[in-house]
Amino acid sequence: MRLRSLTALALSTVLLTALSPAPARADAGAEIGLLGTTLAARGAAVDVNYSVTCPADITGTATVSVTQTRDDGLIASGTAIDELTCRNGGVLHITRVTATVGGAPFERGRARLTMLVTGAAPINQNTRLQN
Amino acid sequence: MRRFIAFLAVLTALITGSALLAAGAQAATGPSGTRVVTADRAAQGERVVVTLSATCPAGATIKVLVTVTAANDDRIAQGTRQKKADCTGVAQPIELRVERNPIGADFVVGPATATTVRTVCDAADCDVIAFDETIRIS
Repeated sequence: MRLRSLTALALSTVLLTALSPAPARADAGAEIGLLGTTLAARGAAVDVNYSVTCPADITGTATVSVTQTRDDGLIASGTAIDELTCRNGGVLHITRVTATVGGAPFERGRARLTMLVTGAAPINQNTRLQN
Repeated sequence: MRRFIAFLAVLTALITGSALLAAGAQAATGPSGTRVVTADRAAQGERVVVTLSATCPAGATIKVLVTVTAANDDRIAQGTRQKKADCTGVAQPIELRVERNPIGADFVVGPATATTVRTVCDAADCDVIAFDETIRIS
């Protein structure tokens, strides 16, 4: 009798574990949305406006890189790392990317943008730098 | 029933205690801020003399690390300087002579961007906060 109860208990545990819905992954689902890239201080920097949506709270960093081949062939580039906290589903943020001292200032036009945010899939896309 | 009420009371006390402990642990060094008041070109663009207005709690110390970046035609001028001060509790001026990085161009009059990283420390804790602002080199 006791053995039968124990077997039933073990079976129910296995069944419950197998049939119960999978728990949500804590780090899943964060997304970066690029809102715009604006020149600052005559191209000495670029302000990158973006949103992060986070189903689970995130405390980490945002690494933003901008690279541009200018019309005159010179290269402008820069990278910035910001602390980022995302709570209650989402956050809007601006990161200022300063031009590298050995390169050229940024100018209006096409550039390449790469972003890494803790808990989110990275993005690597073209963007248009505007005044 | 009595046992259940006692259990609830202990649980409430534990949660409240944890919350208070967390608030205490997160207590920072207090409100602080910096902003660039003036940035004057000097020595034919070899440097920029930056005056910051810094506010931090009396008794604390502040270290500011200022980087000025400006466009000069198709090149970049950039320089970094840091300075420490004792906080007075009211807005206080901090002057920094920011020498240009020899890899880059000279500083010229016009818009620039300044990044100020301030580290404010009291006896218990340190806060590190970065702030970007657009300034004008005069």
